[in-house]
Amino acid sequence: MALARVASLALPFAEPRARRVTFAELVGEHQNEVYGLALRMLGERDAAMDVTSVVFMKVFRAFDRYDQARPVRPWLLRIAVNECISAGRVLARERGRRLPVDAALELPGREGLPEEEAVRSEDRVRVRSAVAALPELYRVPVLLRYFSGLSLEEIAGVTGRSASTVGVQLLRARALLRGTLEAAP
Amino acid sequence: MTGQDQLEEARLRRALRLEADEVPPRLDAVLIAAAARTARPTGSDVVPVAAAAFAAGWIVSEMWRAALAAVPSVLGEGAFRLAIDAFTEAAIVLAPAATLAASAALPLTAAAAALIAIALGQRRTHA
Repeated sequence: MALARVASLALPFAEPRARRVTFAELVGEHQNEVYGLALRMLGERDAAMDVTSVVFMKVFRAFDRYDQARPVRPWLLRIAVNECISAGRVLARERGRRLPVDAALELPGREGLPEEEAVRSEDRVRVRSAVAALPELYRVPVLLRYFSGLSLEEIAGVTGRSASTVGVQLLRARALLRGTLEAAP
Repeated sequence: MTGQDQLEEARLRRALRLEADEVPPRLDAVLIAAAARTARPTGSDVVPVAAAAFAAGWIVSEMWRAALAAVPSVLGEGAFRLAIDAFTEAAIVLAPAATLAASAALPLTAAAAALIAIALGQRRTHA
């Protein structure tokens, strides 16, 4: 009964095109992005799923305080990034190391893969590993840029930094990644 | 942006995107909403915490009161009187200065800036 009442709630959010969506639509449209961001940040499926649930719970609780005239995606991603950072620190403390880089790789077996696909898969793993090893300061803008596809201004809005700072961070992050990938065998 | 940068960006996008086997199961918005409601702190959660905070605050303030009341006997009557006298003397000396500094009618900042400018000018002249 209570669930049915909750289901009937239409929680309005303003989209960039001023489209109003319900909470259920919001979850459906953005769950993959939030989960993917968490997965790339934390490197663990279970942790990413937990973070995704917590993010949407926070979104649900804050819906009445949210300014409906503003686009929902940056707000949602800001909550997701903050939650990922908190969860990442807890994970790192629990394991006594910075990030579960090895878990992030989740190396797929090469058996049975065509050669070209195997090479692509190996490259994906190397790049993900290098991104996972980036300091948090650079990892967040890299994921928002190359996973979520945000512009510099949008990343600045999510992270609370200026667009020029974000640009510099991305430059440095790419330089670090280049160094790591070139150094790797 | 150079061609190498574009190549790197494309490589990053390709590597970071969610693969088909990584897509999570669909989240149930109804369950999330229900969990968000049950996980929210209720009055029965808040009241004991507030009561404990109030009690802790009262205990600490009482401890401070008792400690301050015990200061004269611990320090000795003479030392306590000496400290109070020194504090009073200092307050008498500093009170006019504090009144001047607090006065909005006196442009103390401007006067200080002028004094510093004069001092710097004299220093340059001597140098």
